[in-house]
Amino acid sequence: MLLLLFETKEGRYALPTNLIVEVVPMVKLKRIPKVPPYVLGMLNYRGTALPVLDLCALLEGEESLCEQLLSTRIIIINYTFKEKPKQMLGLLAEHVTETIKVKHANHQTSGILLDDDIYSATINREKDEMIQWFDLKRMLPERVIADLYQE
Amino acid sequence: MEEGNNLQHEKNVDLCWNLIGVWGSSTERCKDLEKYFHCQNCPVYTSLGRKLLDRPIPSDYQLECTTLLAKEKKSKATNTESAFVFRAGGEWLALPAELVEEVVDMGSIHSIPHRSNSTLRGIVNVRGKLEICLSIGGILGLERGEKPIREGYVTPERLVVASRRGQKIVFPVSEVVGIVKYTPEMLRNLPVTVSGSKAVLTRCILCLEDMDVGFLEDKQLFDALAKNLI
Repeated sequence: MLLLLFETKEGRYALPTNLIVEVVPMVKLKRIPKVPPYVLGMLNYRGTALPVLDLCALLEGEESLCEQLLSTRIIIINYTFKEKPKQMLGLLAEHVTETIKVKHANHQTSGILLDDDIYSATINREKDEMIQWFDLKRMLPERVIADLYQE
Repeated sequence: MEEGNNLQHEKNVDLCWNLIGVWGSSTERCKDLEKYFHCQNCPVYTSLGRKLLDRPIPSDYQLECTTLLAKEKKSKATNTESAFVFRAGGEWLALPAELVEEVVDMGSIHSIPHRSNSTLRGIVNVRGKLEICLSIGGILGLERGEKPIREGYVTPERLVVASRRGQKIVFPVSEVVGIVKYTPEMLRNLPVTVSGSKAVLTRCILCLEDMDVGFLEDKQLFDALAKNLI
């Protein structure tokens, strides 16, 4: 299983690549007034407008925003809803520079920490590092995302 | 940019791969080299490489990316097939690429007494095996064109070894273009004015950028060539 690694200010996360449409550079976005601070704006993605969320602000509080570096990139994902058709969504994260391959057996459910899955993987074969599994539905609840696509 | 210069500076001075790594001139060697063989496999090298991206985004780069991303992506055609394009006499022809086994240098063709004709050229030596050499031009009724049709470099005559369902044929060609990818949209129907064996043996016209190529009907072609052998 191939996972994309990315970081926010506090932690390192892994996202399964089968959810990802494309990883694109941090480009200029169209700002929208009166939205929560984690909604950075609209991205013109090949003619389709899609909202981009700042994961630092979303996961760690509204004051922290991703730093504007070359390694900060927009991960475009497909978000599937229960009832509505699926939508594309951009997620801005830091240090989107690495992928890792893991066996699915490494995936351990911790059962603690608010029922979030903890992902343990070895990186660089030297430091054993804990990487949190980025569970799309837990990290980005459906009602929050559905609000972005109001008609 | 200043940061970039710093990295350049560091690179030239004291990064480990320039001292004790594969690019170093000192006799002392990094002990990890035994494990990784080359600095390129070493995590120190990899992680420092990744840090190159921790730089501010140049504004012109960001603008360029924004416009590029806004444009529709031109997808490459995925339904392509390959054709082997060659010239026989004055005609550009093509065969499905999967039929062509190899293209070898022209050898001498030994004619068979009382049997050789315009289609059956004789016997050639292909990698130590004797193969029957046929003429595509003969069967299509083409005239031998000696003049190169294209400007510039023209490949010499070659022998093409093709096989279809175990039936192997060898034929000389005046020039080989090679394998060309095409999509079904590049195929045109044969003009109705074409008649005779050419019309039977040609499936359609393949329109390439600078030339139109007759796409041969492989089944009929192999049948027609086999008929000449009996």
